[in-house]
Amino acid sequence: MLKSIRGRLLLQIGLLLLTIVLVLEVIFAAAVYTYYFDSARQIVQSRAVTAATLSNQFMEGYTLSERARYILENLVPSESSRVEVLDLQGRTIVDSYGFSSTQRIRTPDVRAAQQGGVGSYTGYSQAFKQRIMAVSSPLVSYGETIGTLRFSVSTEPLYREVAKLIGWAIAIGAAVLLLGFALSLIIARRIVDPVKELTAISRKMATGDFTARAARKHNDEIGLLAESLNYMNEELSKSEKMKNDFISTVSHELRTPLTSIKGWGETLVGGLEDEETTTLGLTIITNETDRLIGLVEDLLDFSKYQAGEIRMRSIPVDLNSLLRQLGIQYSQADIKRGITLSTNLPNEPLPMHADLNRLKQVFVNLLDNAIKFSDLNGEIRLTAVRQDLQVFVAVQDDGEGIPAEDLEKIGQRFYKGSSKMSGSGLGLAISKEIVRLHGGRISIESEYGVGTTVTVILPLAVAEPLNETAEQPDKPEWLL
Amino acid sequence: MHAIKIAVLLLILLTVSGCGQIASPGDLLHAPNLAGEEQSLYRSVQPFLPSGYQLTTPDQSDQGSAIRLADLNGDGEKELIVSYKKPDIDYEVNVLILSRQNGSWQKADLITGSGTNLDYLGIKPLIHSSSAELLLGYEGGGYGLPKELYIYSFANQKAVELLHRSYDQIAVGDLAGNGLNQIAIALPAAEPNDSPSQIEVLGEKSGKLAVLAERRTEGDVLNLQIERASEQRIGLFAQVLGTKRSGYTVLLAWENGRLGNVLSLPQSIYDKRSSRQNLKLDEPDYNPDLAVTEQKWWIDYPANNRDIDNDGITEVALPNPLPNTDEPTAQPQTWSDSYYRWDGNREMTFVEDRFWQWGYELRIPDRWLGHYRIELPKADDTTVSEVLFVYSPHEDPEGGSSALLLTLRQLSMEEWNRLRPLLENQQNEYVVLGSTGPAAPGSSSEVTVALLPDTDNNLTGAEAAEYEKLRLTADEVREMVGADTDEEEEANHNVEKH
Repeated sequence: MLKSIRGRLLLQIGLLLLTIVLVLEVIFAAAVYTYYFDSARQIVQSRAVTAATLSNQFMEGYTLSERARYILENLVPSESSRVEVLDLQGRTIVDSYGFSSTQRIRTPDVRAAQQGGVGSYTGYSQAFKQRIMAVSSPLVSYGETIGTLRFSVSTEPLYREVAKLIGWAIAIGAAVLLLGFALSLIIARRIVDPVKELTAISRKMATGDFTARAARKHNDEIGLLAESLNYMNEELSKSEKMKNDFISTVSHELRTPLTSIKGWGETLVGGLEDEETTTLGLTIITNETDRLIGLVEDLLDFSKYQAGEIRMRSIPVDLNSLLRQLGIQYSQADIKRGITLSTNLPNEPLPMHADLNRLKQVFVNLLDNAIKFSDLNGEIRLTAVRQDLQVFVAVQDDGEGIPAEDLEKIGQRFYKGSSKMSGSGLGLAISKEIVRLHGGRISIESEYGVGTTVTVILPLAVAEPLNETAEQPDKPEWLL
Repeated sequence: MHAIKIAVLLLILLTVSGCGQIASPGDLLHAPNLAGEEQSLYRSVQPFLPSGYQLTTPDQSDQGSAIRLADLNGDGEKELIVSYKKPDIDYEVNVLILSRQNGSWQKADLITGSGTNLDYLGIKPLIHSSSAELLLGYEGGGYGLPKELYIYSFANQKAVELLHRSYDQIAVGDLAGNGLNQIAIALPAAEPNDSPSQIEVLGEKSGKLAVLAERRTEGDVLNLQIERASEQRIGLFAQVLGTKRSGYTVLLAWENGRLGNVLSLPQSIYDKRSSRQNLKLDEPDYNPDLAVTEQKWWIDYPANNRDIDNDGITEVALPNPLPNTDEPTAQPQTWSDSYYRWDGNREMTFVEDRFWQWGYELRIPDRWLGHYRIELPKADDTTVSEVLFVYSPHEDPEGGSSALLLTLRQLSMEEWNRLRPLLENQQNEYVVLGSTGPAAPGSSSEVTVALLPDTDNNLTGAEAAEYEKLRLTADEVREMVGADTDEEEEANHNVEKH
């Protein structure tokens, strides 16, 4: 029971209510008891004191039995108390029923009256076989107590009334408890039911139903949870779509070189008589195989990044020399489609701790991308600006640009945008990961149809003598 | 949602129905039901009381109830005797006799007497031990007016008047020791301004009520009582306040068929009364005129003869001077009431000595007798704020040493509240003897305390040892002032004795 929210809620509300009800009941019972008994005592006392005062004032000098007689004869017919006149020994001279008795009454109230005070007593009377309340007041003659005037009433009706009221209070308390129980059941249901609904929906989502939607009924925590579940489901479906896209892209990318290799292979199988054709075919096969290897390596690389298995081997390097090398390499190559690279690099070195090969991979990727998306005979600009202990390296092209809606998703793995260009869509994701591991970040600004600027922001090392020897020899270019 | 509605409805119902039945405390009060028989008797009397009439009780009685159950006619069935009157009518008192017929109470007879009140109501066997006569004494109203005694016998559902006598005081009891009751009355004075000076004893003689004996005196007769006077004997106690000396007490008892005054005390023995030893009596005095002999139990004031030691025998009081310190003129004479019990023969046995003056009351411990004196502060106020009991081993109060035994003091509540912390600080023992409410509005209430002395004194040797023996403990003081320690225990039990 305690394992469910409903059980806990019931138990806690029940306990709280029970405590409140119990405390209130006790207070009520005490108040009722006090009220009834104090009022009764006051009533009886005022009667006793009034009667005794009258007798003391107007019958001074009379004997006790004369006064007893007078009191008996002048009792109010409606007098509800038993009235007794007692002598100093506590013997009943006469009671309101006309009887006298030699039995001695020696309750504390009588004793108090014999001492000259007004006494009251509540207790069980053996004589009446019931509980009584008695108030005694002294009868005084010339300053001397000569007897006691005692008024007594049965307290049984008081006890019954108090018990009745307490009974009512307990019944009401029980009703309140029941009501509270019912209410907490309802409250529990209102809390638990949406959670159950969400659970069912999330299970559905887990089985791959991306159309499932949690209904947001209230603007509360549960509503928020429903919303984030929906969001999660949307994201799941997007990545699912991205994955599918990737698979088809990769299959396509893999198939193109394979088709070419297969074609050339069949051609060559047909005969090797034309040496020129044979050489061309073998070259193409080799190139396409290289391309396939590059693709597979990219995938391997990326999965390593994902698994966190890539370690940076950071050593002090000069970023500036790396950029210069790249500038030279790309401008000499006159690489493809007549695109030119202009560089604008600072003259001083840009020292930092880095894995130079990885950084090179990043810039090569950026430059390749820029070339890929540039128009024929376009221009790419590579600039580096130092600000304090950061360097901003920008690769700028005047290519087709990236639509605004794609801009956010650029750099996510497998995302290729709406471009028809070939590629795994992993390059920028890997670059981002490498830059992140160097403590930097990549920002992309782009205007569709105008061009794109990708800026790599890297932290620099505090100025230290640059170790030229640490510079690594060029690695083979990375192709994407 | 249905459940909530039902619960709310239930709650409202509960509350409303509960509140509607709440009774106020005043409405709930009623007298506790009477125990058994009394209850049914009271109920059965109610139909016979005319409206406006109330039960009334006699001033004196062998039993003070307004409703009595007694067998008047000796048939073995008890009759109900009910006295009632109308409070605003001053000349009519009714006594109703109900007899039980066919299982219910029926009115047998109604005796309407003229008088303001019932002075006496007795149901006593006067002529036959099997039946009882109804004795009714009516008060005429006004001081000095005679009261009227009517004696009825009840037979055949009718009350028949046997005797009518005027009287001033009445006492009833088995004086002759024959199983019947005799009536002693002090006759009213012949002249309204005189005092009653004649005692008559009425009783059965040859099957009829007649005067059995008479005693005349020269003074006022007071405090007529017929009580047990010794273990075996019943006597008629009376006090005569005369003109010659202050007065004397008589104890009339039946001796050899005659009524004799037992308290025939020779002067020589009377003079030794301050020793508080047993007193030897002479032959009883049978003379119908009490004034003849001088051998009397002389009293300086009418101290109450009463059963001082609760043994069922009434002791005779003898006012007895207490040893004072100074010359008698310097301070008021202090008295104790010495109580003596008749041995049934020729000796009065000393029972106890009780100091009873100015509102103080102390039984003087037997072991103090002869070893103490009383000292009063020098003041001529009417009230004495302090009484000292002093140990004095020497006859001459001026010579030799003395030590305080006990101090009785009266003081106002305010003074007492100041004194008490002082006493408690010094660890002095005290006993609060009682307090009275304000005697008059505006005056403060009074407290009487007994202060026990501290141990400092200038006594040495045998005197110191004797003094130590005389000293009282606080418990003894409580006993001596009549504060009942048993009652305190009962109070703790909260059990009502009824």
